[in-house]
This record gives sequence, C-alpha cells and structure tokens, in this order.
Amino acid sequence: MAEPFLRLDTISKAYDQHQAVDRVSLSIPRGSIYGLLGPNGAGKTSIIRMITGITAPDTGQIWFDGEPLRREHTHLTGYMPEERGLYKKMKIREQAIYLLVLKGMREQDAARAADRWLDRLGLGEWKNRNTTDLSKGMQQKVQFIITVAHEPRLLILDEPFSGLDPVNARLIEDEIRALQRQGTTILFSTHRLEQVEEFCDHIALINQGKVMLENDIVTVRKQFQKNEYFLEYEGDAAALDQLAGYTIEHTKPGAALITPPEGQDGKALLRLLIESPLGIQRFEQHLPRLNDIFIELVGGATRVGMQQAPSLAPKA
Amino acid sequence: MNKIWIIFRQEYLNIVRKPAFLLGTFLVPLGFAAIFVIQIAATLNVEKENYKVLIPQQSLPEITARLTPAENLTFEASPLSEQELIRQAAGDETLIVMTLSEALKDKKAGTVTFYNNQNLAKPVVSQLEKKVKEAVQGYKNEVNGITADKVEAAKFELAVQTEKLNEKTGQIEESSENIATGVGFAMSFIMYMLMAIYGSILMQSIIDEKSNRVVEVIVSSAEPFQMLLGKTLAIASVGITQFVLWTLTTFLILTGLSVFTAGMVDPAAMQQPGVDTAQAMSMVEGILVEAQNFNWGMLLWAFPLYFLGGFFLYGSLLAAAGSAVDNIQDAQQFTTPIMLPLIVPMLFIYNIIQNPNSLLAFVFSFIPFFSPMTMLIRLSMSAVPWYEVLISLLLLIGTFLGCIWIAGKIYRTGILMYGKKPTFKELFRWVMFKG
Repeated sequence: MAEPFLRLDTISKAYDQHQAVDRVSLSIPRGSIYGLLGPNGAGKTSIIRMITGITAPDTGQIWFDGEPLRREHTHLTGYMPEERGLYKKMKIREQAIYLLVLKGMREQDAARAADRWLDRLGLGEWKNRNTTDLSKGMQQKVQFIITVAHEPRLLILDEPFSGLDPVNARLIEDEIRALQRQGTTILFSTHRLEQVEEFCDHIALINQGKVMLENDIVTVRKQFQKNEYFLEYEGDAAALDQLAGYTIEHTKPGAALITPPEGQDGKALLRLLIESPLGIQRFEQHLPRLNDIFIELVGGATRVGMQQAPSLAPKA
Repeated sequence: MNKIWIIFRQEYLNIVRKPAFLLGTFLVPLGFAAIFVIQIAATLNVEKENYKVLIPQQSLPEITARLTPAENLTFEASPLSEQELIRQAAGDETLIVMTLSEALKDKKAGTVTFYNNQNLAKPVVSQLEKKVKEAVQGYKNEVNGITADKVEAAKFELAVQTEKLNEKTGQIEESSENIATGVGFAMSFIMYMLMAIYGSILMQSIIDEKSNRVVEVIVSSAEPFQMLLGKTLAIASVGITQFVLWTLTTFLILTGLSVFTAGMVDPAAMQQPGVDTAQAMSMVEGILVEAQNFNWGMLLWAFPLYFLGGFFLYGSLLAAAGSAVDNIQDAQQFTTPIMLPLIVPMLFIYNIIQNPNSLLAFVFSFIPFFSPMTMLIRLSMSAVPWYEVLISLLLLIGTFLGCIWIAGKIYRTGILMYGKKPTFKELFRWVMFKG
C-alpha cells in the first residue's frame, strides 16, 4: 500500500482524568474519502483537533504527507467544525477573505478565491451582506467556502451534512466529490452511518477513545458478512422447507433469509433453488449494514446516532 | 503575513469603522466643551430681569433711604403696608417686597426678608444682600461717628498669590494649580473610563467569537496566544486612537473657544458696570495663562504608557474571563472581582487630588492595579522624581506580563470549553495545565 496521506501513530490525549483518545493509530489513504465514525463523545472531535493542530497529542505522532505534523501544515488543511461559526455582523466576503488570509493566503488571492467561490455557489449577490441577513443554508455554504477556498490538500469535515436541507446537502456532496477527484484527501466525521455507506471508501470506528475497526468499506462489510442469503421468489413457500439442512426464515410472503448448513456456501444453495419449482426474483448474500456492525462491536448499550451530546467539549 | 498582525488589523478596523466609535470620539470632547461653554456663559450672563424692590414706608427709613439702585434693581419706598405690598407682589414677578427687622438699627444681628412669587436667583439675592449691607453699614458708621472719608482711608485690597518653587533650581515656576487639578482629575477619570470601556469591549469580542464558534475555525489557523495578543493589542490601539483623537478635537475646540472669549474681552465690555463680568473674564484669562504654563508634554508620554500598562493588566484578565464563559451573564462572577481594584483609586480620588504627595497617593502610585489612575494625578499636580515613575512603570509591566501569561493559559483551554460555567478552582487548574 502506498504511503498514506495522513498517519496517526498511537496517539493519546487525556483531559484531566479522562482518557479522550487512547493509543489511536489510523492511516488515511491519499485521495480517499475517509469516514471517522463513532457515537458522540467517542473521541472523534479530540482526534480532529489534534490533526488540525488545535491541540497536541500527549504521546504518539501524527504524520502529514510523510512529515511529522507541524504548525505550517494547518495551511494545507481545511477544517469545518461541527458547530458552524461565522461572525454575525460582518460582511460575508470580508470574513471569507479574513479567514483565508489567516490560512496563509495572500490578500489578493484570498479575494479572488472568495469571489470565485461565492459566485459558484450562487452567493454573488450576497457578498456585501452580513451573515445574519443570510438564510441558514446560505450560511452553511459560506462556511464551506471558507473551508475549501484555500485549496487544502486535507479537508476535515465534522458532521458536514448536519442541518443541511436535501438540496444543499446534494450541492455540498457534489463539491466534496469534485475536490476528491482533484486529489484532495477528505476526512469526514459523523455519527450517522447511512451517509457513510454511500459516501466513504474507508472507515474507522471509534468508541471510548479507541479504534474498534479500520479498513476500506468493502473489506469491512466482507469481514462481517455472514453465511446468510436473501431470497425473493415466486411460488409455494413450502418448496423452501424441503431444502434439507438449511435454516429458513420466512421474513415476509415471497421472501426468506436462508442459512446454509456448515461447510456449504451460496453456490450450492443457488443450484438447489434453480432446480426447485420456485421462480427466483432476487438472490443475494445478506451483507450487514454498518449500523449492525457497529452495534455488534460497541454493544447494544451505545446506539449509534441516537444521542445528541450537548457540547463539543471533551468531557472533563 | 504575521498572524498577530492579521488578527490585529481585522479587530482594529472592525471597531474603528463602527459608527459608535466615531460618535464617541467626537461627541465626548464636544460634550466637555459644551459644559465648559455653559459654565462660562452662566458666569458671564448676569440676570437680565429688572426688579423693583418695594419697601413699606415704616420699615427703618433711616436705613432704607441709603439704598442705592443697581443695574437691574431699583428701590422704592411705598406708602402701603407690608400686607398690601405682599398681595401686590404675589401677582407680579418683577416686584420684590423687602422688610427689615428692627434689630438692625441697634443690635449686632438682624434679618432682611425678600418676598417674590418666584425663587429668586442666587446672583440676585447676593446683589440684594450686598446693597442692604452697604446701607446698614453706612447707617452704623454714621451712628458711631465714623465718617465716610475715614472709611475710605481704612479701605484696602488683599491679593492672594501662590508661587511654586522648582525642587532643583529653587527658582519660581509659573503656577498652574487650577489647571493641574482639573487635568489630573480629568486624566485619571478618562483613564478609568477607557480601561473599563475597552476592557469590556475586549471581553465582549472574545465571548462573541466563542459563542459564534468562529473561534474553532480561527484556532485551526492561528495559535490561541496569537489570537489573544492580536485582539488585546488591537483594542489597546483603539483606546490610544481615541485618546489621540480626543486630544486633537479638544485642542481644536479650546483654540476656537479662546479666540471666541478673546473676542468678548473688548474694552467696551470691560467698562460696563457690573463687577462680576470683569471678574469672570479675568478668571477665564487666568485659566488660559495657567494652561500655557502647564506641562502638557508630560501627558503625551505618561497617558499612553499608563493606559497601555493598565489596559494589558485589566484587559488580559477580562479576556481570560470572557474565554472561560459562554455568555456575558456568566462572566459576571469573574468581572466583579476584576473590576473592583479599578474603582478603588476613584473612591480616593478626592484625597489624592487634595494632597498628591500624601502617603496614600505615594503607595497607590506603585500598586500596578491603581497606579495608572493615581500616577496621572501626581504627575499633573506635582514634580514626581523620575525613578519613582520608572519603578511604578516596571512594576506595572511586570504585573501585566504575568497577567497575560495567566490569561493565555486560561484562554487556550477556555475557548474550546462549552456548556458549563467554570469555577475559580477550574480556572486555576487550566493555568497549571500543560499542553
């Protein structure tokens, strides 16, 4: 495997008595969309804050494009925090330029980039309006512009879709994919797993400051696949029960979940089904949803995506 | 570009461009000038109302006959009784009824009573008092055999003059006591106001950034300490800018005023009867002369230095308080103890001005939390040895460096901490916290 763009090497971080991040190692491949998953309070934000240089790990090392992470690398990083932040009483073009200049851009370049992006996302006419004059969706777009307009090589998005309406969510999603095509590495944290399945190519599951699982999404699902097959059929359900040794669960009329006996796989099952009088409409291996995997790993007690933590702060 | 500079510039322009800043900058000196003008105008403007003073005929004619009219007063003996006159005066505000007590004739004390349907203005009452006194004195002199030319011969004027000696040369320096008192008071008050106002602006700005969550974006581009320093320096500079603009505007207004008053002191005006006018004019002139003697140059270095020192001291503590809370209400528990020492010199300002060389003033001018206000008064009113100023400044600088260090520690933890109101104990832990 090629050198990952970002590598976390056994990093730990404690706040007071609380171990927020516990010996976490992650490899984020160059140009990937990498999902950092976990319930609220799992340590995602603490990890992100160390990558963005806001805090430093107590122990361990972060490698940015093959170099130990330095303050200057933050200029190559775009970070959109979960809690969006803009100055309320400042014109949006002015604050975009200010925040981009803080990211190390020259003033003229920042102005040009801000104008280009504001026009591109349809905010051209709002440039000289205050944040408070904008709708929530527009503010989210401004936030996104501030995150990406300095052309970062690493984009860190903390819950990028929370609070977005479907139209804007789609727009931002398209922009993120476009950035990925240009070679930007994207790290994306969320506690909503359904977004991850369609969006990310790599994931890591974090719980209580520890990495529970890290891999590309296909491998993850394979790793947790069970020898179970989902069948939709036409014909008499009784025909299924004649399959000797197979466990049949009739999930609804015309559908069943079938578990082959030990040592048998789907191929033998499919052959039997073809020879049976049943008409086959759909036959697929039953792949677990991330949600199921996560619950299996973390335990039913921590239902993913069900809680809303009141604050961003690491619990002291 | 340096991050501190970027943050500094943004913060500075943000405040200076606000209409409130321009308004405050030009209205405050105008307000002071207005007060000044109104006071002078009130002193110069003698009551224009003309009064007729009616005296019941039976009321001590030997004294009342001696009454002489003044610019706006005429005395008239009336054949009517006191009660009838009073009834008459009740319907006419230009009529004053005067009665004298019999005791004035041969006793050491007596009473004069004036009836009018308004509250008589102070200058009118004192003019009446003066006239009656003259009349009573004239009568008593005559009764006691003191002739008018003897009185004239015994008359004298006493002029009071104070001279300030230079401590080193022993030479007489031109005195500027009145102006020094005024300037000392004004400067320490302005110092107090600027520090309180701009300290709060700094704290508010930090709370806003935190509650807007912009802080999270900025802190991923700049070090928290750079943010704190950039903002603190920016707002300190706004304060200095305001002071410079105030000084310029006040100077322009005062120049305008002195041209205006000089125009009023024409010989014709001086020859008008009414001694008060001339007195007031000479007082104004005296102040202008004193103003020329006052060491204004001192203010140009002392005010900015002490303001910066004091602002860094109080500002950094307020900034730390702002970073630790989510909203201005929660900040209250921290701001009260921080602002308390700022008020202390203001409580003693009268004592300090009365005696700028007292032990109290001396000690206060070395305590960093008090010295900006106290030393400004001492410098305005007396010669302070240079080493005292140096020690006072060094103590101030040392203390504010310590405060900024503490503030930086609290700030870096505080700005990312949401949802709960920290206690003093927690703040202390943040200061000790490594990382």
